[in-house]
Order: sequence, then structure tokens, then C-alpha cells
Amino acid sequence: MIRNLIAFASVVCLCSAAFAASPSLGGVQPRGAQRGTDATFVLSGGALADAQEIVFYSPGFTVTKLDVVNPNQLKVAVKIAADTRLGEHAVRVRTATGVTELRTLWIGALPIVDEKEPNSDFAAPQKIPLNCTVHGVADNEDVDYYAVEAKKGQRISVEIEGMRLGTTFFDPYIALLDAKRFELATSDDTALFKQDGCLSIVAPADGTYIVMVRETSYQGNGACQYRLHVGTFPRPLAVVPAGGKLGEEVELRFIGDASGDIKQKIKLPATMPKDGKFEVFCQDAGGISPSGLPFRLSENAANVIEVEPNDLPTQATAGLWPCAFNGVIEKPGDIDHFKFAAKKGQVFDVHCYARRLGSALDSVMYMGLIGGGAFIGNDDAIGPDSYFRATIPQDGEYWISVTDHLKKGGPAYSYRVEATAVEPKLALSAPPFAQFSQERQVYAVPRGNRFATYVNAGRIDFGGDLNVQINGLPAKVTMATETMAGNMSMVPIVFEAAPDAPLATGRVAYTGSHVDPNVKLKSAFDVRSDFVYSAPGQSLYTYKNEPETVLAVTEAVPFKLTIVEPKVPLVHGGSMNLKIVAERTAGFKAAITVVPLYNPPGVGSASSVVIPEGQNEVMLPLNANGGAPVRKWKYVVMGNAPIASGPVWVSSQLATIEIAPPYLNVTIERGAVEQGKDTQMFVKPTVAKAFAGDAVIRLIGLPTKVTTTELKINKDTKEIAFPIKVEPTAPAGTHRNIFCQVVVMENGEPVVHSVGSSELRIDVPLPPKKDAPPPAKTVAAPPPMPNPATPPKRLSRLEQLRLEQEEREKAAKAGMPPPKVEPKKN
Amino acid sequence: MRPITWNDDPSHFSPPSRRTFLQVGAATGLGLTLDGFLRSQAARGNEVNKEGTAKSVIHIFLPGGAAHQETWDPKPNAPIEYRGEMTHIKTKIEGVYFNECLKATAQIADKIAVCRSMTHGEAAHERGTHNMFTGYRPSPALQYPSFGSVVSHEFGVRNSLPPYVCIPSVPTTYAGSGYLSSKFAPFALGSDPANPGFTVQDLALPGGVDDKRFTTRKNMLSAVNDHFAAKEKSDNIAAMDTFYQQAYSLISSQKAREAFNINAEDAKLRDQYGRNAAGQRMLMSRRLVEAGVRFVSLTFGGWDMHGQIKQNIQGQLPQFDQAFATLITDLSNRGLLDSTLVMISSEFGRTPKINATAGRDHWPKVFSVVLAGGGIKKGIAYGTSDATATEPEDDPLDVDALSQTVYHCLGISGEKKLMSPGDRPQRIVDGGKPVKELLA
Repeated sequence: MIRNLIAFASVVCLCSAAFAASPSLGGVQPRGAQRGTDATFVLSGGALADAQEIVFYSPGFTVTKLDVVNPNQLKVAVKIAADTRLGEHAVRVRTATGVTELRTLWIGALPIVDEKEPNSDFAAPQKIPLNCTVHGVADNEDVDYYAVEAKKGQRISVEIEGMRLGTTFFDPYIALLDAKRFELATSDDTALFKQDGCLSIVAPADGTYIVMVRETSYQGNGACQYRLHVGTFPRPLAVVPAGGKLGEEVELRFIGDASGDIKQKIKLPATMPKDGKFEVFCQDAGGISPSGLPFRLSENAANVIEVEPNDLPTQATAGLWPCAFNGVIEKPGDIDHFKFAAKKGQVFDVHCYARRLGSALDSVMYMGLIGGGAFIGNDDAIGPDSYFRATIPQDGEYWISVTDHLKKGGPAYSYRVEATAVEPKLALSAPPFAQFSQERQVYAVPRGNRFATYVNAGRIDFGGDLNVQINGLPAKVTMATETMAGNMSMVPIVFEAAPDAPLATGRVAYTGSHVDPNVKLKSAFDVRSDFVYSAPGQSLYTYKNEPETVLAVTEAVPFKLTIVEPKVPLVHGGSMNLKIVAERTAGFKAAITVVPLYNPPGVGSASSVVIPEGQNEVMLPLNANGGAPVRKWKYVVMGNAPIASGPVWVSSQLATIEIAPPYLNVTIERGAVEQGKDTQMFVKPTVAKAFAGDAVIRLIGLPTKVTTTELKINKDTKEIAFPIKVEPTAPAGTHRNIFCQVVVMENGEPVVHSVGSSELRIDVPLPPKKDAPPPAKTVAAPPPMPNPATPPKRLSRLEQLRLEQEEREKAAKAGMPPPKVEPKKN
Repeated sequence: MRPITWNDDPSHFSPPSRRTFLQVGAATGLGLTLDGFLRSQAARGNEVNKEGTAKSVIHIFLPGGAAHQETWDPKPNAPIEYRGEMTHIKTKIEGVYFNECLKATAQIADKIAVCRSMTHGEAAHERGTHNMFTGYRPSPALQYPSFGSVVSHEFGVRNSLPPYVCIPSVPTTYAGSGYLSSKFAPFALGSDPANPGFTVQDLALPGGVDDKRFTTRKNMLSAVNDHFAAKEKSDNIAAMDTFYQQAYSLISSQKAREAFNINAEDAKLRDQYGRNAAGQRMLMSRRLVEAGVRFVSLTFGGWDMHGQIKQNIQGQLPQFDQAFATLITDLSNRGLLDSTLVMISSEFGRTPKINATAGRDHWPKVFSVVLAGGGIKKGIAYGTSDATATEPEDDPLDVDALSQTVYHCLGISGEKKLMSPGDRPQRIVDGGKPVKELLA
């Protein structure tokens, strides 16, 4: 079933991915290497023939050789420094014409051993040395056994990187067995590594120990690769304290390792990393943990570590704010209390960091005045973690309690509570342009050309207009944007590279500032690169966040796009054809697909238009609804066309389009007519903005077999009548959705309005009555008017009824039967 | 809202009127148990049907929810984000326009009825599909039979052919027999007539088995079956027996088997239909109804176009267009159109506005179905949607009315009750009336 869902999901995926990215990077093989060695990686993807640079996001990697095996494969020799951070590292490829998606590779401390099948028989396992990293694959119904020798009392730790490798959906299961096939420890999922497991034991005797690896439900496949670390390294599950002050040396207690608690002093960085993220690695005589433990860095909060017993508010561990409270829910039913003094009116954001740091704790947190009950509490505001904003009701000492939602507890149930002052925060991000992809999250700006994107902004605890800046642009690249309006959460951005800009890569990050310099924002930028989606409902399993993205100057491309800026506004309810012009270099004839980068609120457009092969322009239809804000916007389109190396994107300049209220409105009188007869439909314009000259007015939406002509009006026209010809076969019934299109010419360009709404009723004529008297001619035709646009006026239905009533009254007075009044039809 | 299930019907919770009480009391006085009373009610409904104008039905289902805007109901005067990027063409129905890809269909539009005010309230695929295959809203209490199974139940086998056939396979469980016996379930071809090596499985005796050997086998099987049936009572046993009987008659009738042989069709005509899934499935459906199959249900394509609707429509609609126009012309040339009701439906339509991925999402509030032949008026557009194809504007056509119309053409009364498990009689259609304006 799950497989069917996946198959279905990938179909949906294909439908939405209309434009291929060029170039692309699908994977890196092998999935990792040992630090301090020279490694060779094969990078596979598409359109990589003109690869120029391997872009690593973190230090420690020196590319010594880059070979293009074929357009879809690169062979890269890399020197990995001995002090390279352990764990996941991001990589992209820059080619002469683009930048690929972000992929990862993993760095470990142990030498690599490759899996050698057959190793699926417990009796004949693959022998590996203790302290190595195995690169293996968990195939369908495959079980891999590895044998290590250990001495009594020696620690054996196992950790697997499976799902985390971000290759495919792969939920691994690991177990450590003794030679008699008794399980000593197993691990399927962990709070720390999600689907990936880890375990550690102390060897009970000298002998052979077997590590087993398989897919949890035996449903692996050839893509289910893993890196299995087996060694004597410490594998704690939690750390207390789980955070510290910048620049401080902290003593950490690693807990959850089979050998017991491990104490270690660590000097924390002096400055906050760009993404605010940090990990601590446990290290002892047995080695270093393959993966770190997430660790909070604070600018000014001192650590307070719980002192048991603290199960009651009266036993609370005291702190002096600003501080952060750290502890462990050590046993089932444990509840920890902390206290600090606060003043009336102070407002705190109180976060319990637990699952966010890989803790098993599902926190529940309360706060109250010492001696009183809780006045605020929370369970799951942020995933399973608790958060609340507390406004201090009176001066005094306040307690905060932390416990587990299911009253569980254990060594892995660590937490850190941070109470911080409320401050405005701005979260900027670069979203992908297509679902389930990383499309256009990196910027390839061709020399002498432009590339457009947009930045999303999440405003937390403030509102208003924003200015967005960028850091890290390569030489001779500029950025154009506009102020992000307070009611918008995105702003378009256009990068332009000079024709002589060097082919280079810039690691760029946005910052935002409020237009009001008095509003200080804590601004952060984050790009999430998605790797593995799977059931249920295309859930995201693996991804990597980076605090910067890549902008590369690429080779010139043979086309450039320009929006011909309109000289007239787009009016509410109206439409406009925006002209896009392509400038082609000689010989480049390919069709160019043009898509709008975005549409301002209330504005609609075609999803895409195509500049046909060999042609140079296209019209992009735009319209605005009645709710579109009246203002000017910066508008930009992107263009995609194939060049020799694959499809490339460029953009137009930022052009101004203006949204305005309509120049005029009209009321259209409802019409009623019999089949085969003629009538008129009266239109009364109300001019809101005087315009020069005549405007063409058309009646749109008439049913079949009903015709009229277009007329002209000017700013002074009070009323016009459309002559309506109705053929005898015109469909009877009420025909709604009739409106007027009015085209006002201004600055030589049309301002197209769609205004008014009406209906026309077409009746089937009644059969003539045999004894009916001949219709009385009672109404004289009005005198003809000189203006053809206002022909003799037909009586409205109300006028007809009035006239009939008058005639009846006259007839009654004269003592005669009332004559039938035939409505005058023109 | 009309009642959906027994529990949803408030009348079941109101005290019985004096009149009702007397009527039921009178029945009891005649010595009928409630069970017998219900059975007699159901039996009363089971008078023999007289075939209507439609002797057969070809139901063309477009799975996924075909966009009405990009097929039968373009809105050229709507704003660009509503009308989409595709253009429209004139048809042979005056004042009615179709999507630009329906060129051939536009030329035979004078033979079909386009209903552009179809409406229901189910925006999930499986629920919408249930509506459009059974005529009922899905109920947790009961599985309703599909149109084809009801037809199979009401009329049975003709010319030794299965009364209800699905091409190429049973598209959904809702195309099944529901609460009716499994013997009214569809016969599925099991492979696509568009495939070069297409054969229908199990139509011929297996290799090495001659008629004599087959008869011996049949007798042995029936000896076992008789013994089994005498000991056990189950719908499935009876149904299995029916399957065997139908299969024997199918295998023993050369004429019936030939209906499935698409290779016997003129190559030129096969080309006209189009050598693709749409063409060959529709051609196969024509062969089957011509030979005597009462209800053919076929599916074509995937219409769940959440992204890039223009490109996706351009990829599928031309094939459909060619095949459907040829089907109508072919049926007409053979004099079969007046006795064959062709229905095109989908589980729902798609959202009025184009979404961020240049597609449209699910929209059941208004969409289009097409009916042709079998007693349906020709060359009309029934009902309209509003200016942005968001809601029905005139003559909304609900699922009941559509079902009633189809059954009416077949000569089946939608009022008739069929017996569901628990001896609870169920109307074939729960409300509505045939739409007179659609009937010729």
C-alpha cells in the first residue's frame, strides 16, 4: 500500500516539475569518507560536462582533481583535513552555466570498510575490525551480519547513518548479538537520530560479537545505503547542560552511554554561528562519537543545572535571570522545578528545548508564583516541545516545572528551559520554485544577464515594511529589489552580472531591516534543501538547512529578456497585455518559455507564455480584481530556453506596473426581447477619472444569434444604447454575465476595463390570438437624435407598465375596454 | 438535504402515523412476517423491465477529475486566471464552444448533449468516483451497486455475453456489484486493447483440452458443486455457479468470443479511432455493445491535473477527441447510436482558478458530463455554469437526476427497489427525476 502511495506521489511530482533544472546533482558516492585521508567521490547528475567547481559549504575539503567522466558523472579527488567536523557536509557543483542542487556527504573518524556479500548468514558474518565504518546496502529481505572481537569490559558502540544519508526512504534497524545469537542491545528509531539507531554495551566477556543490520520491515532496496560505525567510541544519548554561553568553557555531563556518565570540558565558540546551530561531540579514550549532540548557544544566559530533589516548587533550583535551566527527567514520574525572581510586567518567551535537541522527553511545562498554582502552561506548542509567553503578573519569585507528558523518564530525557525577553525576529528564506524539489534555490546569473528570485519573510513580533539586503555577492554582480510592503511576505529580487564579471561563486545570505530605524530586528536567513519525501502524504524525511545559498556567475547565454514597461495602469476589473521582448544573439532561435516570477495581490496572469521559435516578443495577459491594492509594484518575468548544456533561466528587469481604480463604471439596464425582434440595451457610464478622447465600448457575453455593434463614449457621455439584433433562432431564456469592455486610450496604450453586469431575457413570441384586436398605436416615436450612439429610445419595462396603466385609466374614464399597449421595440 | 442512509433520514425517527400503523397492521393481519413483508415489497418492485430506448450503454470515465474548463465548458470571457491559457473552438451546437483540442468532437457536437451544470459535493477522488459510478453518495453502512451491475441485475445476459464489461480493468471498487450478488460484478478484459498482443484471457479452452475433455471436467465440477451447494448456503457459491454458467456459454459461443477480437476490426477503422488507449478502448466498447454487451465501462487517461494543466490536456485530450468523435460517427453509421447511450463522466471538475503550479485542483460544485444516443436529445447544451465556471447557473444537474435519466433511457425505473443485505429494500436511485429536456 505504502509503495502504491509512493508511486502515486511520484506521478504527482512529475506533473508539477515542468522545467528541468540544469545542471543537476543526484548523488555522491561513496556516501562518506574518513577525515584526514584522500578520498575519491563520484558525483552523478546531469549536464555536468562543463563542471568548474565543487562547492563545499564547510571547511576541511580541498579538491585536488576534478575529472568529467561523462556529462552525467564527475570523479572528484578530495583531501579531507584531519580536523574536519564529523557528520554531514553539504556540496554543490558549479558548471560554466549553472549550479546544481545541494547534496550531502558524511565524514567520520574511523577507517572505511566496504560490505562484502554474502554476509546474510549469522553463522558466516563478515569479519570487521572494531573501530571502523562499514559502507553497506540493505537490500530487499537482506540481513547483514558483521563480526567484531572484543574483550570483557570493553565498550562496543554502534551507530548507523541510513535515513540521514538523504538518499532514499530507508528506515534501518540495528542489533548487537553475542555469539550464541542472544540480543544484547537493539535500536530501531531514536529521539536523537529519528529513523536511525544507535546503541552501546559493555562487553560481558571476551569473544565475538555480531552486529546485525537490516531494513526495519525487510523492505530495503539497492538504494538503501548505510554507514555503520562500530567501535569503542562513546555513544551518549544526552548532555547536561544542553547549552552554554558564548565563549565560555563548560563542563558537560554526557549521559546514556553504556559505560556510564562521561564528563568533558568544552570551550564554546566566541561568536554565534551563522545558523545559530552547534553540536558537541563526546570523546574519551575509546574514541569520539560519530555524531554530535545538538547544543544551544546563548548570548547572555548563564547555566543553571538542576539539583535534586526538586520535585516540588519549594525545592526548586534557583537561578538569577537571565539564565537557562538544564536537567534530566531521570526516572518515570520525575518532575523538576526551577525558580527565579521577576518583576511585574516583564514578558518572557519560555521555551523548553527537548525533542529539538534530540531528547526523548515529551515535555510539559508550567509556571507559577512561588506559593501559588500555575498561571500558564503548555504541552506541545513546538512539536512535542513546550513553549509559552508569560507576562509576569506581580513582582515575586516564580517557579517553572518540567515533566514528561506520559510521566516517563530516563537518561535520555534531558532538557533545557530558556526564558528570554521578547524581541522582534525576522526569518528570511529562499523557497523552492516547484514542490518536492530544490528548484532555483541557488542563483546562476549569466554574464551580462539577469536572474530573478524572491525572498520570503516571516515577521515575528513586529509588522511593517522591510528592506532586504544581501551579503556575499561576487564581484560585478548587483542586486535590485524594492521595499517589502507590510502586507507582503515576499519581495522580488533581480541579480545582474556585468558582461565582464568573473566566473565565480558567492555564498550569499540575506538580512532584513525595518524601514523604521528604531525597530531593531534579529534577522536570520535559512535555505532548506529537501532530499527525501515519502508516504504518508509526501512527508519530508530528510533535508538540510543552511544559512546561505550560492550565487554563481555563469557563461553568457544567447538571449535576454526585457519587459516593456506599460505607460498605463492596470485597472481593477481590467486587463493588460504586458509585452515581453527577447533579445537574441545571432543564430539563437529556440522558443523561450516566459513565466511570471510572482503576481502581486489581486493580480492574475497566464501561468506561462511562449516566445515562439525565431520570434522576439510575446504578450503576457494580466488582470486585476477589485480588491487589488492601489499602488505600484515591481514586476519581473523569468525565461527558460535550452542552450547547448541544457535549459537555462534568465529574467527580465524589475519593471513597474501600477494598479489603479477604474476610470469609469457603467450600469447596464437589463434587456428583454422576443426572438426575431430587435431591442436596445442602455448603458450609463459614470466617469471617475476624466480621460481624453473617445473610448471604445463593447457589450460582451451576448448569447449566440444576438449581435450588436461597438460604440464610442467620451468622458461626458451620459447614456448610450446598444442596438441589439436578435435572430428568430436565438436561444430563449435569461442570458446572464453580460458586461461592457471599455478601452480608454492613454499615452498611446489601451486601458482595458471590464465593467458592469447585466442580463438579456429572450422570450418565445406568444402565438397571436385569433380574436385579438389590432394593436393600438398609442406611442409616438421619439424624435430621431443626431448622435448614432444614442438612437431613439425604447421604453423601459417600468415605463411600459406606467403607460399601460395610464391607458387603462383613460379607457375606464371613457367607459371603454382598455386597449392593449404594444411596447415599442426598436 | 436528501436522506443518505437509514440513520440520516429523519423520517425513521418520527413516530409512525396512524395511517402507516394501520397499513403495516393490515399486512400483519394477512399473516406476513416483517421479513416476508419486506420481501414482498421488494418482489413487487421486481416486475420485468422492458428495454428502453437505450439497449446498451458505453460509459467513458475520465479518472482523476477532468477539468470542465479545459474540455466542455471553456470561459473565454473570464479573467485569465479563470479561463486558463487554452483557447476555444466553435462547435456544431450554436453558441457552444469546446476546448481547442476537441476539434473532431466539435464537428459531431450536433449528435451529443453536453450537460455543463453537473454538480455534487464530494471533492475527494474516491467519494466523487462513488457518486459517478453508483448514483449514490458513499455510505459507511452500505456498498451501492454500480450502474453496470444494476443493468446486469435487471436485464441479465444477452447473446451469451457478459452483460457488464470493464475496459481494460475494473477501475474502482465502486464499479462493482455493491450490495447485489457478486454475480452482477463486471467482467474485466484484463489487458488493454491498445497493446499489440492484446487478448482477453480465459475466452478459449486451454491448450490440450478438447470439447469432450472439457465436458467431463464440467460434469465433475458440477458434481462437486452440487454437493457443496447442498451443504452450504452462500451468495458467493451461487455467484460462482453463475460465473461458470456464463463462462461456459461464452467459451462455447464463437460469436460471443469474436466480440472480444479487436484484430477482426478493419485496420482503417482502427486507425480512425486512433492506435492508442482511447481509440482502441472505445473501438472495443463499440464491438462489445454491437455484439450484445449491455453496459461497457471504460477509462482513459489520468485527469488529476494539479500542475501544468495546459501541457497535460494537450497530451491527452487530442487522443480522446479523435476516439470519441469516431465512436459517435461509427455508432451512427451502423445505426447503433439511437440504441446506445454514450456517457462521458469524471468524478468531479476542477477549481475555477488556475493554481500556483499552473494546474487546477478538485472542484465538484460544477462540472460537465456528456450524454449521446440511446434516447438522448441531439445537439443540445443542457444547463450552464456561471461566468467563471464556479457554480451551476441554470438547470443544475445532480447525480440523482443524471442517474434517473440514464436508467430511464435503459427502461429501468429509478424508483424500483432492490434488496440489500438485512432485507432492506433500496431504491435504484434515491430521489430525482429523469431530465425531460435531455430526452429525445
